[in-house]
Amino acid sequence: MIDDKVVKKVARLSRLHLNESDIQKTASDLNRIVEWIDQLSAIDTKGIEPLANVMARTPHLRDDIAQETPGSNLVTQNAPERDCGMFLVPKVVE
Amino acid sequence: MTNDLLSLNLKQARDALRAKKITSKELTQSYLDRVEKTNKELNAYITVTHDLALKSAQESDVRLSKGDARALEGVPLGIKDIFCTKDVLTTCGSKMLHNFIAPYESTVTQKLFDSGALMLGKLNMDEFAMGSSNLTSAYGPVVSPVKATTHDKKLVPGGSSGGSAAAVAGKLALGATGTDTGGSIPQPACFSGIVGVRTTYGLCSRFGMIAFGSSLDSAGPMARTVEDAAIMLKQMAGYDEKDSTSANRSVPDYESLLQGSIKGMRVGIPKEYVSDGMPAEIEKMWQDGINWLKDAGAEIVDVSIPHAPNALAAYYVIAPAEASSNLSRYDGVRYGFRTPDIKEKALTLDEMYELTRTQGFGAEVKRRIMIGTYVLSAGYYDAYYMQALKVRGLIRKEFDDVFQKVDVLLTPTTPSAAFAIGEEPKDPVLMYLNDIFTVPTSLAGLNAVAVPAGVSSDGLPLGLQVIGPAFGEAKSLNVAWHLERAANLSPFALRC
Repeated sequence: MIDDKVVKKVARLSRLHLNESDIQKTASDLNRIVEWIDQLSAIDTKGIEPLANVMARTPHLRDDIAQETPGSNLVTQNAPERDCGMFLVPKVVE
Repeated sequence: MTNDLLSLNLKQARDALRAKKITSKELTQSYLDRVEKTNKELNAYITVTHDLALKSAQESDVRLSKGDARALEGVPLGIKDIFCTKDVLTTCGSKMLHNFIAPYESTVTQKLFDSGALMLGKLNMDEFAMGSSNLTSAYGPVVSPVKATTHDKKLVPGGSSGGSAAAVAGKLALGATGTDTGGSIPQPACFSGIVGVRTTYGLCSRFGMIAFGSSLDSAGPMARTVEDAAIMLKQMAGYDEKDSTSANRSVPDYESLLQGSIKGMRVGIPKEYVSDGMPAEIEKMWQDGINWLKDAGAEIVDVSIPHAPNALAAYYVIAPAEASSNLSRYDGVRYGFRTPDIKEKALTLDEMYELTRTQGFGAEVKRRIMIGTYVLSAGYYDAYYMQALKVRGLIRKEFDDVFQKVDVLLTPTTPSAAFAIGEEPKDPVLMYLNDIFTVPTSLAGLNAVAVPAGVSSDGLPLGLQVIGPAFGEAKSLNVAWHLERAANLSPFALRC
């Protein structure tokens, strides 16, 4: 059962802000979905391996040779704020 | 002349270009003119790349005149706005990427451009590919060009590849790329009366395709006919060393394998897809499809996929879980939207993340991120996420077993025809049920070809899908081609 406390915790983990007025609606939507998802708990999955990806094989590797990479200008070109080829953010370290 | 050009399907246009009966410039200009006339109403395109399209058309005409034509030389396509297209705005239907100019090209679009195709623009879609209606886009809903005969309401084209479906159905592109995570190609194809192919996971590269559910996302063609889709698919598919889940296999020439006889082909009818409340007209269409394939020499076999009915619930654990992880990159630091509040207030980095994400994402995206975060969180991970992965394993195994007994499956694509804008279900679970027939295929990573096969009592398209085994697109397309011939409804919207 997803109550206000759980909604606030999940919102925090997701880095999403919810107004007090939204918390109840969100809890109700999430509960509705989780109730429906709960049908999965009744399924017997003993002996079944979890299938995270259908391409069930080892990923292909490439040779460990340095390749050309885009320069920092290209990489930062969409940054909301940038300087000297770096991303600018609010101060983190005091 | 303009109208004649728009009435050519992709194959006809390709051949006419090669035979020098038409030029890419006049073909492309016709499409651009039509987009200019109709896009305000339909809102299929977020960005129209007018000058780029004409420049590419000119280059194609040079090649065509020299007899140097590549596979899709001069063919104008629409590109779903989920593919990074170099130096062109790529929004993924979200405010979060409202100003994102892709610094690189996705592999799928690069392959299409290398085959000579050109881009008319970037097509509207549900935000971050989350939706079945194209109602969640930050750029406004797409209005379907398909109209009912019994009322005047504006209809949804389906989603998330809603812009792609509307563009093809409304003659705003000769073909379009779509992507499928839980049915986002077959469902809008069905609602819009066109053909769509959900491809086997790993067939087309995901490099440069903005990620929603990384173990589910698959690119595929949307077109007027099965033949058109087959022609496009050959150019989109193929191994890419930049995608570690890309399949290292040769791509068949789907076009040449389309028309072969299906005598003796075993077509499975999975009993779990028969639901209690199935509308009579969909049941009838399914039976028609069965009869058409029988007439073409196929053998009909009853089969069972016992846990197919649980696929939707498993999907709504796995897809949001993967989305919550994939969308954590949108934080206002490296690209896209950053909260404007940062200009007035001294925000901490954490506050910047939170405000950026709260203001930049729409409601459905936030809902799915939170579900995903919840099912992955401590205390719930095993009960929800791990259990869903095991159910997925079970479903994939059941499909594999069924494909030992039959070559393909035949089922309806959607449980209803397109609904009107404003009449969409408000209950999120009821909205999710639109995908009930498409999600099992996506969860298992298999392929499906959606074909218009019936007409509702309101005059709207209804569709069937041919579901095939992993990398069995040639077989699915072959059966779909026969189905399309017998149904004789495609291209649907061109009859409006």
